[in-house]
Amino acid sequence: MTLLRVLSLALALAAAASPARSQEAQALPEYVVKAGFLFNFAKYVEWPADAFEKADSPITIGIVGADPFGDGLEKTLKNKTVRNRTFVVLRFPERADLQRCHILFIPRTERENLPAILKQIEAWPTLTVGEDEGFSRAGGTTNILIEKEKPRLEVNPDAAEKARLTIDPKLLKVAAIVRSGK
Amino acid sequence: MASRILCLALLLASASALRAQDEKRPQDPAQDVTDIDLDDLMKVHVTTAGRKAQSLSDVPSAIYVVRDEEIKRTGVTSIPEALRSVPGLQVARIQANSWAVSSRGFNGTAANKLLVLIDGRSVYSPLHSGVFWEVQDTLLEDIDRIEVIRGPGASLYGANAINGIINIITKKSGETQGAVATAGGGTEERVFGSARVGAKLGEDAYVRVYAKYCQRDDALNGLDRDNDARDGGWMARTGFRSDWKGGDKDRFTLMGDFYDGQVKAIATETSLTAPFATSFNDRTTLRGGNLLFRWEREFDATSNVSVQAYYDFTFRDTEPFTDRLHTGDLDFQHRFALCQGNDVIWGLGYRIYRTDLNTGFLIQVDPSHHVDDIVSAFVQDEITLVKDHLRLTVGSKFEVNDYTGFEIEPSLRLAWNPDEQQLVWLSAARAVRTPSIIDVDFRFNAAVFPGTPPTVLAILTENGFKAEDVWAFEAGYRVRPAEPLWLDLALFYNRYDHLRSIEPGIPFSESAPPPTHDVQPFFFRNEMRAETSGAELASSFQPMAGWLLQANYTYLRMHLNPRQGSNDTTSEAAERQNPRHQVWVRSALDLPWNLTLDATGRFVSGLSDYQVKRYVEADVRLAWRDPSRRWEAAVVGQNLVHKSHPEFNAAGARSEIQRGVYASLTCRF
Repeated sequence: MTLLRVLSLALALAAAASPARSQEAQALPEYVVKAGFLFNFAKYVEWPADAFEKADSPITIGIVGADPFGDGLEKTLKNKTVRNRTFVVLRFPERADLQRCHILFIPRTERENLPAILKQIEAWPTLTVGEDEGFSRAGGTTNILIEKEKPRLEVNPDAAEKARLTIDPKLLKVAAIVRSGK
Repeated sequence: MASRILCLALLLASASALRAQDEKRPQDPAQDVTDIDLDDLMKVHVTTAGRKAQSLSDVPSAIYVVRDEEIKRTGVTSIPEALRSVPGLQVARIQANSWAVSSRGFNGTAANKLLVLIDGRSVYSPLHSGVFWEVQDTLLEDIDRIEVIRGPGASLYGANAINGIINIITKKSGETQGAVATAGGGTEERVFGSARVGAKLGEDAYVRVYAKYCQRDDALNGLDRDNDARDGGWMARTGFRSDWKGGDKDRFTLMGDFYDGQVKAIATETSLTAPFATSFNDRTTLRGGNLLFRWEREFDATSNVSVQAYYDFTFRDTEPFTDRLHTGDLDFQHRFALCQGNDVIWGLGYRIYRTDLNTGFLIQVDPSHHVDDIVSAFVQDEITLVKDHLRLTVGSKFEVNDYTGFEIEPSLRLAWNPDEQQLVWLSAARAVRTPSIIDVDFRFNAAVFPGTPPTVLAILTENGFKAEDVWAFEAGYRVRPAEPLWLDLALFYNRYDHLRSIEPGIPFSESAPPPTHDVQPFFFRNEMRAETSGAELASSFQPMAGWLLQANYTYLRMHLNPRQGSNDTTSEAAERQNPRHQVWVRSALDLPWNLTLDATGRFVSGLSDYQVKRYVEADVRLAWRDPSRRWEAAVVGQNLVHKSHPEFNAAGARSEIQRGVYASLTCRF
């Protein structure tokens, strides 16, 4: 029937007008990518047994200060699980309200407060995640940097050890190792 | 018949136009970033925050988006209420269950210059080109965003997008996983409840199913504020959406809804014998359903194809008429990059309407059975003149309809980005509103004057009704001067011709139906011209994390003048039926202890033709979420400033909207 003929013609035209082109790398917004890293960190970091109440207790992700994700982090992690654990996002607009969490994202806007925050959570088995030059040197565990529109990771193994976290070799492989500096 | 086959040869594309806009932006990535393996994540190209916020800012037209977060946090309970924030729109609630919504003027119960799409499905009625807003609803929680483009829009849209397009887009089923149940009630929003369950069907295949019920209280009688208007009602609806992927390139969507409801209204009937006019309480039965299927294939980042088909049924049984409408629509579109710097979109569409009307004496439609079809095609090329700085968009829409034949609607747009934070755009476009059933096959026996013989005041149609047309000129400027501040200004000047006018005719005598009576006829003709102009400003400011302020302003000036020879004395009243100034402000504040506080306020200047005074109204919502985000409780106050206030229409044809309070509880699991 005419309709089908036109449809198939249209499709043929469509196919013809679409030359095969090299699959360019996907372009994603900064905080979508960072949400993806947070998810991957949960996958490749092991917490000490006492960090969770139960076998299926959720992984808590805290954000201190101004939240640059909007509701993007919840959207990304909604209904996602890692080793049967779901995710819960907590926000601590005030540094003083910080509570124990498994992952703590420290935005670059908290640069000034970084030493104080690290001091405050010293005793917790918390993976700190930053996004600022010098974050790992200052004692942060993992740092996500964007350079020339590509992500670059830093991991500070000393900081991980102090928080009793085990980092999977797969994550160590893609990250630059940075030691705490004086 | 031949023409029908010819018609069938084309597919409709107007409905999916905004999807094309969608695909120009980076794909909504939130739902699959976790599928990206760590190694691949290291290789992605990262766009920075400034750029991300620009995706909307890149569109060179007067676009405004109402996000899911805003819909939720303002506590609105219907789609038209969610549209009050949009600069350039006129939104007025006429009764508890009826709204008048228009863009850039010409508002009315049957405002007919607006295209409204829900997930690509057109919901304006071919009866009068207007939208029955009381049946346009879904689970508000599942709406991802409402995109509104004022003006004739991109050339991608079909007829009726003469003054604007409202595109309501629901979330993909993959983004609405898990179960959510909400229940609540209050003084005006009497009882409401809804539930939605989302499930994963397999690798990259999701589904959700929802059900919703709401019951609205009566507003107050427009003539007598001590009494109810008897205009409340209830509505129940259910629906589903499923999205799945086939391989890397193909995406499929199947969705459908069904609703049933009843709203009360005061109806008027005229008759040739005493008492000549009666008013009585009527119940309108509303029922409808739809099913939509869409297939999208992505060849690469700049080229894709989509095919969409839907069927829609609505049934409306009210006192002046009973209407059964079936709509079938088929839609094809293709986007590709042509040479260097040409982003081309073209498409074909076909839509068929079948209407059956049962009418009484007040309103008559002859023939009562209509089958109308529209064939359309569009093509648009976005040409990059200077990379990252200057773009020219040239396009046109072509349409063949049963009433006026071939219509062409060209548009030209120029967008200039001096830098990443600014956009200046200019556009010129022509658009048409093709006739609807009431423009061509309609009779309205508005009043009967007693006498011997009685005289009927009737509005009649005749052959030769033309399409209304407009040339629209727009300019806009959008800027993010500093990170927390955003401004969007749009200016327009529209010149309309062949607008519908109501022309008195020569009285005649009629013997059927008996008794013999005189008719003072008024005919629909195309004898009006109009010039409208206006300014629309949207702004948002984030003074600190957790606090967002928004302020929008609309200025509208309308000037209608009849063509030479016209004796129309009523249509110019439109100038006084649309507000000159509108202001909408919002504060969204995150408080400690998991509380959020939202307040919106609005000012609407008076409508002198209806003796509706200018008014200020405000809504407030306070909500608490438990830290695990499983429970959410909210208390919402609506229209808090006045005990009751009118918004639109003459006092006898409107209700007064009352102050209302409701509470709701939501649970996710």
